[in-house]
Amino acid sequence: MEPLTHSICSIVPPYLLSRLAELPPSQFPHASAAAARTLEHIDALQQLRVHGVQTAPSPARPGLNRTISDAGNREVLPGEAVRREGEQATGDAAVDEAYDGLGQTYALFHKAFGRSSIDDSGGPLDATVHYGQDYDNAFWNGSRMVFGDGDGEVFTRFTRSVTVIGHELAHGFILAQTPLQYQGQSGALQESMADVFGVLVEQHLLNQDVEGASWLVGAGLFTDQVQGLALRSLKAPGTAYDDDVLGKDPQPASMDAYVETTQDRGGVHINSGIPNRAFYLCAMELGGYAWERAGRIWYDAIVSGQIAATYTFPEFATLTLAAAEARYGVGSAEVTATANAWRETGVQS
Amino acid sequence: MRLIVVRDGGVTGMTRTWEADIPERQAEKWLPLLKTGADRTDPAAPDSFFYTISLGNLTAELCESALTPTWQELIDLARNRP
Repeated sequence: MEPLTHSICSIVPPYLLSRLAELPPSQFPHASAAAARTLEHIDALQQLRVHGVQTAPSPARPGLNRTISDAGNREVLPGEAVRREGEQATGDAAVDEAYDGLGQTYALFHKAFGRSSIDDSGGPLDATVHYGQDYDNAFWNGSRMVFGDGDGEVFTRFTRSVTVIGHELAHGFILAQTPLQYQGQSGALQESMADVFGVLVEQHLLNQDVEGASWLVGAGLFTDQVQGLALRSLKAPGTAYDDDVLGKDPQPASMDAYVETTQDRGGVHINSGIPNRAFYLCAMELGGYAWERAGRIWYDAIVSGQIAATYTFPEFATLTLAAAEARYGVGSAEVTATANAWRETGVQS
Repeated sequence: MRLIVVRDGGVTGMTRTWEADIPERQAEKWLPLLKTGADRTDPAAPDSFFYTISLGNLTAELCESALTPTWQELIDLARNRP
């Protein structure tokens, strides 16, 4: 694999997507439609960035208090603060993407759920970028988001995907609300919740309904040397990438394919595919904007205070049903959609 | 002596493996470090990496936050990084 020398955001090379989108739908209905959707998705994101809708200095909002720090490609935290709330864009893409992504994540939680920051107390949102050298990761360290620049061969910088920024910040929200252990099924639940709120941040930002959304986590992170669209797909777990070097997306889509493994802390990023797809199915059955009803049910369940450290998928399924009944009533369409989603993924019978 | 570094976890969920042959004399320097064993407790760092490092027949398991500069040096040997 040759090192990349260009810096255009790439998921699949745009020329390939364009070619796929132009295929006769009668012959290739899925490929052409999927490519067209992906192109629209990239266009929408690029419009926002190119035209500076999100990079314009935003008036400081109560409760929104961002600080972006630069680790200078060393593995040190927090690094040097380079952009604080209300300050102008720096011109450093990673700094400005992190700043915008924090604001976009804040906006979802505030507008859709009435939550003031991840701790619901207006707490600061902190991030460090340019962490480490060729660092292929983004993580939540317990109090801040940390983003690497990627190695340039497989991954570009991790701030490129607002779903990943939303995912990391959602970890802070989840840890503030639940004692979930980061291991096995409870860890996979935590990963799934982070993916769910990560994609909701993007859908909310782009004003996408369930049909228009990509349902991908981490689109745009791969260089064009990689055969893959994204890290994960909530819509079709196991199909996000299939590459000679990286292998194939290992996510199962239902309980009968649950992966028992000692790696990845018991497969927390693998088996999360199952509750991820349950959320997707619930949202699709309800239609409209996913954050309004499916997202509300998941949010209510997470903040209920009922989640135990070793919670399982079936226990969380039961909790979401209770949350749907509490908000929308017994026998409501929301309860039915939730029950159908868990049944279809084999989590509940 | 065979050095194998397996890194799993991370937001990508992808496992990477790096291997290198270390001359015996150089390997001896690292064996006491390997014998210090495991540090698997990383209570509040979702998406951080997890390392399994083997040298000869010794293996240590470490969460990312437990990596000292010395561990990092050993990992870089396997990754063939300066």
